[in-house]
Amino acid sequence: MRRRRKAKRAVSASALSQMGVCERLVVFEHFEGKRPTPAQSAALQRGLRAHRQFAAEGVSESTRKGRCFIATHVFGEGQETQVLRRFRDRYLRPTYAGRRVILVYCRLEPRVCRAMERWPMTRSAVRAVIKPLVWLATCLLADQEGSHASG
Amino acid sequence: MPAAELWLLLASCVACVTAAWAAARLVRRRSVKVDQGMPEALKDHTLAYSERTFRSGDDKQVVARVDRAYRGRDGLIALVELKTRQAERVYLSDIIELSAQAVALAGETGEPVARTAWVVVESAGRRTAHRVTLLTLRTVWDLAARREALLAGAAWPNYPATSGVCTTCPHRSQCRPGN
Repeated sequence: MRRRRKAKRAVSASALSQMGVCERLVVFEHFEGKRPTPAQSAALQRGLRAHRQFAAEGVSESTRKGRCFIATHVFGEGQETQVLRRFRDRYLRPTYAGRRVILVYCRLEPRVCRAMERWPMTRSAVRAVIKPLVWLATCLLADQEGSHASG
Repeated sequence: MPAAELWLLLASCVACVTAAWAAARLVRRRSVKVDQGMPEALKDHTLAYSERTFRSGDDKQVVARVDRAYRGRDGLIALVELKTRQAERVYLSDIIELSAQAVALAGETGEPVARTAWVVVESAGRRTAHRVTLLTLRTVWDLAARREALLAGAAWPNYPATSGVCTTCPHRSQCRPGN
């Protein structure tokens, strides 16, 4: 079989999963592109529709379970929320202690959010508490990104 | 208004109400079935990620889009993959895909991913959850290395184990020994 282009180092999960179907198909599709039959195209469209519905159900399910985020409640989907999410993913998630902190936070957040909905005055107090944390997280992330860039 | 027309109007109203009731019942039954498709074991889990792309951060990158990932009380992430197909069964490709997703998610977030995952097969309007055990990290890297070798021409691609795959394959005409 002809070699048309150099293989990329990154591989997608769906491309890798084709290895479980047929190795020859993997090579054909890589060099000659996908050639879906009309039935396969229709199945693909059906799959995309089902995935959109599945994703929407996931969102409504998490809402039904009362899942909410204090930062989103206070700042909306703003810069501060993005910083806190990045801090959570980079600093808290990788360590055991960090994951315990996230679990405690997950248990507390519905109550705090309910309180903020009930007494809107508390929102500014919570914002005042979170602001310094956002500043600290921004500094830490900037420091880490700076050291990555220089290294 | 003549009595016959009155009866016709009444019959039309009854038919409309019956049709609306039947349609509502059909929709409700369908949505209940869809809800029932999720595995019982994930009832106490919270949805952590939905339709999100992850990249493993190491040299050999795996990129994967996760349909849903649930976080258990112990902090373990359980993956769920939706598949729409006629046959209500799980294939090896589903397990490989979920294993690659686990590698990508663990690589990006550093969170531990459970060896047990779920393939939810949507078939004829209803969903069924199938429990699967994921491949090891080593096996996923071996597969990725084998794929690279195939694309580089360093290895010869095998024929599928069953000929069922070939019946719908668009490359069937070219797929002969020696090509």
